[in-house]
Amino acid sequence: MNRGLLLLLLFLFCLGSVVLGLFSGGMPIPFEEVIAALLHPAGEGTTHTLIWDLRLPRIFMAGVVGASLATCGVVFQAILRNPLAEPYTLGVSGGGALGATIAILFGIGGLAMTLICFAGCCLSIGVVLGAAHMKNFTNSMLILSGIIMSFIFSSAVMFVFTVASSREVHASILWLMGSLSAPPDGSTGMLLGIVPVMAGLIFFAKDLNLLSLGDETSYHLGLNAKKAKVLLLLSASLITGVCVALSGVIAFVGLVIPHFTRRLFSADHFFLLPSSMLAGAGFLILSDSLSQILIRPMELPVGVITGMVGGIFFVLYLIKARPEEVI
Amino acid sequence: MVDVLTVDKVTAGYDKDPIIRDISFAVPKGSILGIIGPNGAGKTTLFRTISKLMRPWKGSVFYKAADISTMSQKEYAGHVAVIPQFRSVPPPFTVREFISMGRYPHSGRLARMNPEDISIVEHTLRLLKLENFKDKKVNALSGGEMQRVFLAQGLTQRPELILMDEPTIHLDITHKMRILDIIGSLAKESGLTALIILHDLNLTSAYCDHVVMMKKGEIFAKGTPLEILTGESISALYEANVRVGKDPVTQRPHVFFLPQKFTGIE
Repeated sequence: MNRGLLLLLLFLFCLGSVVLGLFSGGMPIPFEEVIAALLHPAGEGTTHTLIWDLRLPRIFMAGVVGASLATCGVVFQAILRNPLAEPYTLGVSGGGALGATIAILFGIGGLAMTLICFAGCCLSIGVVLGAAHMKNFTNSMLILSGIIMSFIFSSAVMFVFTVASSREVHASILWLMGSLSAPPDGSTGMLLGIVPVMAGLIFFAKDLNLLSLGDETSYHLGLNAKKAKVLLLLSASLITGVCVALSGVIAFVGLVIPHFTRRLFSADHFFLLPSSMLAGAGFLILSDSLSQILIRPMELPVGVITGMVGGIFFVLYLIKARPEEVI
Repeated sequence: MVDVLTVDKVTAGYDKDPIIRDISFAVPKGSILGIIGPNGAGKTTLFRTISKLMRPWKGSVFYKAADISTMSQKEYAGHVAVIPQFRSVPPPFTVREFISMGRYPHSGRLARMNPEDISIVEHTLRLLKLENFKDKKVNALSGGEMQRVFLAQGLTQRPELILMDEPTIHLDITHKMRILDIIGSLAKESGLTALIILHDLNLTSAYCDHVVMMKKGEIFAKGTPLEILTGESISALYEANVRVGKDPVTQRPHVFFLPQKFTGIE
């Protein structure tokens, strides 16, 4: 199928998810009231507050986080040349989880918790890239040090759990499952901050094409592979860190979406990056809408939906795909 | 004739001990130089040093007059294509996309393919008889097709020098000859210079203008095939029983292998 048409279809999927998101939430709102609220941004009333202060910011957050995780997944899979690579491969989620559980233990919430969580992510990125530096940033060193850091952080989280109260443990587990229900103050600004960085990755589409052939091949074709790898891994990890700090560990988006878009568009990152942004945004907005509708008036953590839907589709994809299609 | 590649007293290795020692030779423009030698002779270490993956401990490698250690990788790739022996199966790019990546050293970060790039890619597809494969996924090709695609990517760089490590390994005789014929005609018609590591002595004799024999990290002999591919030198290089005759068509040496069951020599 024509690539432009495929991109248009993904955009329409994204738009459809936004529309569904507007009608999702703990309280059903009639169609005409949603339209009226959208047409009068300066209006007042409960519906207006629900749409403009709760649902639209939440959709924006789901869109940016979904696009970011999918885009970072593309970057990690291209550089590490591993089908299981995802945005959390360098242990970013582990660092974020430790930061979040420590914040919950000390009763810290809101923006301060987000910043502590982000500091945890940065700690993990720093240690993993520092360790990989000693071995010339080989892929095996990056992956292994990421896994080791995840184990270390996971053990530290377990330690915090043993000294925390059951209420704090419950809050931590809910955070670990990933949720978009309570964006902290300042989240919109942080999300707006990562949008240009994410969009800027398209400047590196050629570099990613070359890196996906392997370090030596990309070097022979004229790319300073080490420099490009470090820059791209650092950018993708920091974007992921912001997402983890704002919404917890949302599973599967960064793993599954790149596989689907690669099958739809081939491996050319000029198409793979924008298509993954659209697909990731649409998928997370849709999942978040489902998480609010399925057990209304209660809400499921969005990670439960992405894990289940993404997992099932991924298994079906793997069964159907030819071995050479799974990089 | 000007030398495109000059290896000047190069010593290189990995840890403490050098793998290759005091290697010197030059490759004139438009010629094909074959490197032969038994396993462990240091051929791949020499190849990695010339292709800028390793720095020489002593000595220098020159592309024309420029020491390659002073050239940026992009500048080097704009003149020199490297086709290594082992390459993993690439991601699912189409053949056309994969070959187009050879234009990377000549293009800007965001620039898409210009008419000249497109014409070079089309020409390379025709040259290697890959037109019918251009929309196929590169990871679904056979070994022979993939080897041609790797060569096509290198040729799309429009190099003046091409370095190839065992380009004919695992290929049947048709594909071996097709690849070496293409290099031979490009050398003759376009002045392409090639350095090729080969294990097949008869292909080396038939296709190469100059041969460097390596043994235990040093140059054992160098010269034209006629000068150095003799029964004596090959037997000494490989410690194997061979007889060398002359091919009536090419007038180049032809190596006959003498199995133990016929000679009784161990």
